[in-house]
Amino acid sequence: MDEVTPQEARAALGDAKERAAQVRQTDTQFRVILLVLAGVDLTAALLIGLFPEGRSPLVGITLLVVFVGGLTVGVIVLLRARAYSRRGLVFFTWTCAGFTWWNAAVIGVSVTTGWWGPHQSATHFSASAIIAAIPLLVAAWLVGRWR
Amino acid sequence: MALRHPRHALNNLLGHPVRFSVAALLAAASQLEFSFVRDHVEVSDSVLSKQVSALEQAGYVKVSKGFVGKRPRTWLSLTKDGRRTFERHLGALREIAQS
Repeated sequence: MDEVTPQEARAALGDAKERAAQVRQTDTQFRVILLVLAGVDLTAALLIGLFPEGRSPLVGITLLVVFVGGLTVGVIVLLRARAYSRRGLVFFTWTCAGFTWWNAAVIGVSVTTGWWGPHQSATHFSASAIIAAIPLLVAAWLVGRWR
Repeated sequence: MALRHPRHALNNLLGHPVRFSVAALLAAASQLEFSFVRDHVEVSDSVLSKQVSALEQAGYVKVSKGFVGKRPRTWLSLTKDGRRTFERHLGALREIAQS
């Protein structure tokens, strides 16, 4: 290989750094998906809190539309993606796994402590759903701070 | 005699600016779509195809083809060997830059 001068080496290193930054900019797509998931969770919390079961037949349909809509948006964002950074993909996977465990823990605690029950207010469910969304909101906030 | 100068650790294939930029993009990614690499490296489809083929033949890049709906998509990723080689190349460049 031809001799590489320190200046050329520095230029190449700068190029590598810039390329890595270009890939990392695509991590915003994961932020969109995390916010959509959190939005679905919080909308469900709001709807069930405002319209407890049996008081409005439209609530079930609205919830279904929100879930299917959220899922559709997430799938479309992933299908349209042209790049997956290593950091973004690992972070997104761990966030989804963390959210699943956290959600299970919130449900478990809500049931075992009697926070959820037939005679409890629907707002209890809403409060649990809001707490369950915390990992998604924190992760979306962290992705937004990445450079 | 042991070769000590960092230039000996440089990889000939990655010495080419387009191939280096492609490898640098792929090093930060799990996988990238062909058009993403083309747009960011700012080369034509044919130039990128040629350089990617060279990297693929060396075993540094994996090319996978698929479809999203009816649209064909080509995905590029660095192989383990490609990642190792790129890291070694970067290490040599760092040493040269500091000398």
